[in-house]
Amino acid sequence: MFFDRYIIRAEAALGSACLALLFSLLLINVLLRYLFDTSLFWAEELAVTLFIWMGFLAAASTEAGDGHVRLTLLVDRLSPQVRQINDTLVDCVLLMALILLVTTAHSGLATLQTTVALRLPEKWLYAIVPVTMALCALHIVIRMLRRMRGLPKIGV
Amino acid sequence: MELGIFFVVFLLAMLMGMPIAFAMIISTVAYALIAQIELGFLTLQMFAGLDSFLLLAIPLFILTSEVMDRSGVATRIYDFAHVLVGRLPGGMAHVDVVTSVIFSGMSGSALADVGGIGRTGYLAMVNKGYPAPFSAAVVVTSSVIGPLIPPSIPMVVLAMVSGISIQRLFFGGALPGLLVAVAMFIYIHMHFRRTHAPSNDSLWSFPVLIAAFFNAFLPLLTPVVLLGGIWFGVVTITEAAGLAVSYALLLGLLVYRTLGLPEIWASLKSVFHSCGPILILLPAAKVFGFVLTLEQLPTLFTQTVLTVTDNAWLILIAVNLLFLVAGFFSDPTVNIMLFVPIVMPLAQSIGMDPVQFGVMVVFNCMIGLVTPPVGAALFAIIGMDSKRLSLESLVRAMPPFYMILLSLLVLIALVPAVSTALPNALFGK
Repeated sequence: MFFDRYIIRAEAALGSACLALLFSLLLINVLLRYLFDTSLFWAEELAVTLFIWMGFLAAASTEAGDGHVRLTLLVDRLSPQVRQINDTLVDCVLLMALILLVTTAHSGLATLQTTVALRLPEKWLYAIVPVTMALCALHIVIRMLRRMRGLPKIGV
Repeated sequence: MELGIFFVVFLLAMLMGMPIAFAMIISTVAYALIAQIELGFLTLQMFAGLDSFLLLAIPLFILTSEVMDRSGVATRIYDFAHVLVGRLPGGMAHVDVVTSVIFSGMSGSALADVGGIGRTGYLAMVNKGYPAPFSAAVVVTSSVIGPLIPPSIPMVVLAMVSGISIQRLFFGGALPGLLVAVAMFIYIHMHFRRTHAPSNDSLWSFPVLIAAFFNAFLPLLTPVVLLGGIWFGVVTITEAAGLAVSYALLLGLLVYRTLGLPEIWASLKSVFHSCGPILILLPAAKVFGFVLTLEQLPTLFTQTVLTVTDNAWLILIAVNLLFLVAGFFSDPTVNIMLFVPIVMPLAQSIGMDPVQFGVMVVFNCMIGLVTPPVGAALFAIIGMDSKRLSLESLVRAMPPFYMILLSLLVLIALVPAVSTALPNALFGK
């Protein structure tokens, strides 16, 4: 899957940019407060949003590299064939749950208002959850395809 | 019924090797499907799981140690510790402990300590002729100090799920962290009175010490900037973390001139990648906790236990055993988020101070990090030098250090003042 690599790079670039931006915002705000006794009233809201975006992008990126915390104590004892069946089953169940989560997200998003400081529609901000969960689903599909073809896992 | 299925799905998915965060999410999906709750709430709850200004401190603390590492600050601190204690018998082991204590004032993660300064300390010990398993045991045990002395990522997570004051938790962990260092110092000292220590070539003289001190002076100020800001209430924890990053950048970019834009971008990306496994657990715990609260499980659990026994000692032992055993098998962040909301009302019912409870939980989780079969710190150091280290040889060198950690755990559990004296003195009762 040639495009997976680009998605992973885009996730990392976007997430790292979010981190850089939220750090700069915090710094500017502290400086403004102590040097000029003023502050950007929307800085905190934006910084928290950037952090949440970074967090979910990082979750998708970690899924691509299969790096989430998991218990492998039992499955490590399975024979390679059984292990493969087990892993495929786990991926299928997870995939179904993620698809359910993504396709039902709109009903939750529809209840949202606008943000307090920036007056942005909250559903744009919250959309990061279904978007990154869809990315996780995509990474899982690619992992399953690679497994079927006997290709090695992707390292991130 | 719904709750039964919720737990069966969670346990089954977890044991079959699904990422724990996703196991929490899919068990909630299963619960919602059976209880016929509209699934749209999941998106909102997951978003809310990260929606907190305090949590911004996590990537910023990781960024601080990342930038410090890349700008060569770690080496300066190491050299200072070397001049300070390197000439003692078993000096290189002492150097590692002292470095860990100093670095723990800027870093909040045990694994970051093992991978960063732990690596330097380990290689220095092995190259001087110390046995590899002993050296590794010293490094992983001293890495426990990192999340105890503030700043601390597990403490931020704990404050998040429990509502305990993060300022108090931070300072509550400081004395226990120092006690680990003191206990290790005593053990290492006694060990090398019986065993021949490899010779050391540390030249000690007062001018050398002063020179090393000035060489490391600016990095040594980081904990002062960070903790001073928090103590005086000048900045919030998150802003303090931001200041620590700025300070580290200032040192690397302007003072030592060892950093450039490529290194900074690489640090940001590295932090992004380290955040993935930690941060997804918070939204997952939020939806998982949503179900637990809906079913009033924490209250039920406390009531059930209290009908069996209301003996404070038994409950204290049970709480510690729970976190110790969970620590053998699972990750600290996972254990904090899974068990703290359920167990905390119980700890309060026996009159335990929340700060003492928090420090005790984090200490338990840190022991889990250095115990098999799932001790992330053990595997981190074995991965660095798999030629000379194996899980077996390392675990065989660990028992004295396990004794140190367990005795300190007992002390923390029995004497509230160990964790509460400092925060009470700084912030009032």
